[in-house]
Amino acid sequence: MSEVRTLIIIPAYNEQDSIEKTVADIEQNLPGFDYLIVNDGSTDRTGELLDERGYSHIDLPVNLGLSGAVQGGYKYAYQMGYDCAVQFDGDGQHQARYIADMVKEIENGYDIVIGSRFVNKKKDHSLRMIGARILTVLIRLRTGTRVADPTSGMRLLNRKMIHDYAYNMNRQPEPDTLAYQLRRGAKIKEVQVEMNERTAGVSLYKGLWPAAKYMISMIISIIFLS
Amino acid sequence: MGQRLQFFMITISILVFLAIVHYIRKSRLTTQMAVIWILWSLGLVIISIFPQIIYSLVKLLGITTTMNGLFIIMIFIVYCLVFFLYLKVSILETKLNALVQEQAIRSKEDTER
Repeated sequence: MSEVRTLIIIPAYNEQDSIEKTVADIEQNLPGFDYLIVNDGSTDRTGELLDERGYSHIDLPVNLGLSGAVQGGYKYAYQMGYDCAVQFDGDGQHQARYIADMVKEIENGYDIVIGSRFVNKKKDHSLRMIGARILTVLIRLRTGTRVADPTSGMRLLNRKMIHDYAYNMNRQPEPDTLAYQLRRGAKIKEVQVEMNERTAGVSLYKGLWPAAKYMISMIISIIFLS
Repeated sequence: MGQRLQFFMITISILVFLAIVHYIRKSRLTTQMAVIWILWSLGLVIISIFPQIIYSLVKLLGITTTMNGLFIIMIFIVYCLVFFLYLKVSILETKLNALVQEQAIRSKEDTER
């Protein structure tokens, strides 16, 4: 284990079926790492389950959505003095075994390390990946940096970035924030990871209209606001 | 539309757009709200450069005077924005209530422990 203290932040909204698997993955593959589950006002048994199993967690009294939950995690990480913190989804998509490699890149001086699916792999031609391609191109045009997997939720931040994400407005864990940080001189590194298919839950952006809304808002935000 | 009016419209809409971007940069507006306002102000810029869009829209709706048509369209958009705000405020109110109640219950639990 490294000297750097890392917190694994697991936002969980109605994840009663997958949260145990996620924690087991962390305890098995990253012994000695701290984690914090942010229960984002779940309406299923997630909250009780967390209490019963004695997992390290905080309960948000109202549902804030992914951004608010993750931001709560960053606030905790900052106040508890962690050197870096990673967002790790509770629905079984992310794999804990890659985090140690990502932490090494923080030690090498990077501000943000992305667990990326596409460093040495190509994106397929699904609608979803076409969207991701558009964002990659836009971010490149705006910042000059290529981010192969801008929509990856697996992001590791150093302490400076933790403070920024925890206390400022408009730091949702989305591609537009990456563009914003890049334009302010943040150094971003991508590490190749594999992700699982979701074992439970559904994507936030399921359906054509939510996906279109997401894309419009990301495009506008990257072009005008970063 | 007279040339003077068009020039005035273009200037105003560009100024509005710049002001919106300025306020967002100063972190006074969330991205979600900002996106709506940017789309809105870009729309204003576009229709002041190409007022033909409004002319044909008004014709399509069967309104005789262009200005009346413009008013109806603008009022409708403002109407939609106000409704969106009402939605947001309602959600905020509910969440604030939940938050205060939860906080009160937790502090009672803490003092009894």
